[in-house]
Amino acid sequence: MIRKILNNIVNWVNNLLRTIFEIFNPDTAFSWQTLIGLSVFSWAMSFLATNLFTIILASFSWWFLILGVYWATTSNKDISIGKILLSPWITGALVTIYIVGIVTGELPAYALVIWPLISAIIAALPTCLGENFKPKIPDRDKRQPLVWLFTSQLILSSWFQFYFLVQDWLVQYPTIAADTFEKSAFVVRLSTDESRQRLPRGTTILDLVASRLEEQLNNQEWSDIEQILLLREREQLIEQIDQIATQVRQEIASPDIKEDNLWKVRLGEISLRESGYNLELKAFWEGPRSQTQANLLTKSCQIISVNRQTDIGISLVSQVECDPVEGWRVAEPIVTSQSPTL
Amino acid sequence: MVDNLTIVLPLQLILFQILFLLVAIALEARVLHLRLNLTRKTSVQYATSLNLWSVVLGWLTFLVLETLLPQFLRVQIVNFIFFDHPLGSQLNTPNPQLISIGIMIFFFSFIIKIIGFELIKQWIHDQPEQFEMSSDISNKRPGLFNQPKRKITNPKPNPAFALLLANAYSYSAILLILVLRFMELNILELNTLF
Repeated sequence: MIRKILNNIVNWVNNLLRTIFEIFNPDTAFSWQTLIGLSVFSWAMSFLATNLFTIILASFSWWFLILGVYWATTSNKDISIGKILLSPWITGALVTIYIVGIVTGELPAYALVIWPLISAIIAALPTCLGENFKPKIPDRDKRQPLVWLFTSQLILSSWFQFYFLVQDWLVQYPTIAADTFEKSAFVVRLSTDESRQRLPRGTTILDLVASRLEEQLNNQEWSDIEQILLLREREQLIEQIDQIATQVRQEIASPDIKEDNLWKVRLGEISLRESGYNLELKAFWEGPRSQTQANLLTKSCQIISVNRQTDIGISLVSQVECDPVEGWRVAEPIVTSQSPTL
Repeated sequence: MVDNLTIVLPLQLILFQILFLLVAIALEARVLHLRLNLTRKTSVQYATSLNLWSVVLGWLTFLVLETLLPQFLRVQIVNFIFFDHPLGSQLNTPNPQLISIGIMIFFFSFIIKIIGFELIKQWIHDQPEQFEMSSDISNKRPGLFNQPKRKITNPKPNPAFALLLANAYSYSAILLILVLRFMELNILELNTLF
């Protein structure tokens, strides 16, 4: 039994070695294996060479690799979907990496957009080249398939482009990610981990605005504070908050994010409490959202009077404390569908 | 660049596009076959080329427009793509802005298809294979009574009209699919309410 298994393994290894040997030892020198070999060779040599020769040899290595892979994939009819050989797309990927690498010095994901186009050109080459690689007008029955090839690859490229566009939008308007887009007819969210969901950017804005306001209203004479909070002085307070909000927006502005002007910070209600006042700040999200109404975040700050020892004696000064931001997707109240039973 | 935790793929877009293309090619091939006296094979080939071509031009227009739009319009598009309705509009009701954009797209694609038809004809460089005209008309002696009949049985192929008709058929079918999707969404919504 064990002997049989061993025998099998030996046989399998033997076969594998033989295939590898056959791959690397082709019948004629004029084959794709030679090209791959040349590619590896010039790649290895490029390490030994200096300066300009490194670049030249590395380029040679790429060209041998591209030609070798093209040859290998074209000669093998198994690498295909239906009747369409995948060779141009595999070779196209290598050409894209090579070209984009030369132009930009790195490989951005954006290269995906040009990959289908380069592949289409590679796929079209055989029909557009005559004998001795002279350009020619393709045969009549090959012309319409060329139209399908290029248009379909342009559409594929547009899909990639759209993907990057959507990602850009998510960077420019990060609050979209805090919403749900189950109803979308275009896109689907892959990571549905709710706990890792982003907070709307308004929380940052509201927190900053509140802390500025806190600084300005803290440690003031209590009579001044009461003056500020009076209903007839409300205009001034609203203006003050507007100024703070503009300032905060300028401070957190980043060139990538374009949604800050869609957050509107407003003064909410000011109500009396037992030992002071409760001031509410609201941030409305007027940007892209799943609901018709603007989404709302609130933050409430308590302003109370405390006694403070100063040089001239004990005076009544204000103390401001703010709660964390509440509302949309930040601290949603826990809704229990069943009433607790005893 | 993509530092956010959300990976968003345009899967529905791709599936809908493929579905709409198949529906449009099938319907338009039939119209071209009947109206332009093309063989079945040629008409399918033409319909495929025309539809792929108009989708490509549609994409290019969209991608260029998107970079040119001011923010308030871009936000509308973003909202439509992520949340299935323009910003701030009433949910679950047909939207006049969307309907007018749809009509504009219809005529835009019609013009694109006429241009595409001419271009493809030029590129292929010959008249598409046509049916041999049935010769029963020429057998009959032209006369007073035969003339009106002749006009009906042998209409001169009019590509522009055929393309308009083809476009109308395919857009109606796509609209039907969209309406069904819209209704299904609303029914799902009702189900969640109760």
